[in-house]
Amino acid sequence: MEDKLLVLRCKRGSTEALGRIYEKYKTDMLVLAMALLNDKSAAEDVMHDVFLSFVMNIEKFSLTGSLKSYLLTCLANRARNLNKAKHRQSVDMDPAGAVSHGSDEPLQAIMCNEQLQHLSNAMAELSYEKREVIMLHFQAGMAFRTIGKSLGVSANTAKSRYRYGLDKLRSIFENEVKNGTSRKN
Amino acid sequence: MEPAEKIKELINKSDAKTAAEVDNRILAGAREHLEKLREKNLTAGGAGIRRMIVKSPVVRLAAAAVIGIAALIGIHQITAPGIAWADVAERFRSVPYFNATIYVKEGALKEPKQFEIWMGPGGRARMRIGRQVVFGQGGQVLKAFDISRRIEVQPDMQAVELLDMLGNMEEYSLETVIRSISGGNLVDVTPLVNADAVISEDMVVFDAFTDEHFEWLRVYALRESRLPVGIRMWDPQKGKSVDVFINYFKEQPDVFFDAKTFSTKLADLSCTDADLAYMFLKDPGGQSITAKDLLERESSSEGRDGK
Repeated sequence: MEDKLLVLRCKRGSTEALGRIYEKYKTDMLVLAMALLNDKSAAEDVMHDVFLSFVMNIEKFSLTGSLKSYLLTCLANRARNLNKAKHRQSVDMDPAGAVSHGSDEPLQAIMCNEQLQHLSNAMAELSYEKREVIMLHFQAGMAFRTIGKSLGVSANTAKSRYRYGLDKLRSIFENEVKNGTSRKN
Repeated sequence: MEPAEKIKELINKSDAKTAAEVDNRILAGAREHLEKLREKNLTAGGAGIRRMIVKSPVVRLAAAAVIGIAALIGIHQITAPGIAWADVAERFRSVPYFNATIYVKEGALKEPKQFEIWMGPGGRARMRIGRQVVFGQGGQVLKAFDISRRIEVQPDMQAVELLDMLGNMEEYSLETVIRSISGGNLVDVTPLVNADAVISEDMVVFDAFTDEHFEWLRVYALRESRLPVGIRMWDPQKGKSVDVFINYFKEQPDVFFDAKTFSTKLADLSCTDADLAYMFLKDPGGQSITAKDLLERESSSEGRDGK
């Protein structure tokens, strides 16, 4: 109910309501953006684009489900487009650079805690398609059928990306443990 | 730990903080667009459909409701050709005394809080809030008394705020009304006639809406005299409401607004709390207001009978 009222107030031009929505879902969106892009600057850009697009379409917008899911899906879509654009650039310039070039940038205006940094680094090891499915499933709580629909693939494809992604994460985490153990030794 | 569990745990424990400059950068474009949308909405309202923004704190609601009386007196005037806002201000100043009894309910299940306020010429005001009687002038509190403890006290903060907000009424103007109602945020006000809400031809009903919030204000006025007799403000989100009953006086004795004279009565043990709460108040219809009035009336009629 609160979200519906906030959306209604935004339709009337309330910047206060927009601020409330932002504060309410900022962390969820930043976590998703960082997990998908592993780049603070890019995360800020997609957040900006999502909110701008949200208010640009606010007059026709009708909230039927959860506002959180809606915003996270929009963010994932934006992040995918950004990732594609970056990928195209990196193919021309530096094939190894891919996406995760920005995590060490000096920009400290977004401060991630240790867990988010860990999550974001682990996710960066996966292909974009796999991290997207894993994050939308875990963080936005979306079913595979819904994820598949939003990505334009079947539910089975979404599910198999999820499974392969988890397999890869298992080996990443196991390596981390091994490396941590060997370092101790 | 399975990777799914590990990821869940990492997501749950993940946190990110942003500097204010980042928040501003992220929302900059969106805010700008909303501002434009708000402007568009206001313009789309049309020349005769101007709206007001009402902020929500209780005192502001109460003040807004009282000031709404002034706004309404103006509304009828402004619809007549050739009458300017200066005339509206003059009309309001021509109402010598009024009393507003305000009930503020902060939520659907909350008990209402009652304020009583009397306004007179020269910005003089007297208020009863809880156990306090508060005297003011030009928006400033002069004295406050606890009638139950019979001592001078620090004024109730809500009384201070309310009097402060009503302080500009001596120099009443449309701008003052709007500033007071919107907390300085707007602009323009003209409630619209809501014919559906009228239950009698003797009465006319006006509605005003808020732009950003959901509160609405309804003013009940007499059709002939155009004087408002009741105001209701309502917040549909929480069932918050303000109800105002309005009464007019041709005159009140000066002593009614005199804090010094009032203070001399505190030590008078023959005065009840009710006597003190309404000390020196004269009912325009000649009815008794306090027990003292009753006794005085009784003794004077006995005197007449004795003659």
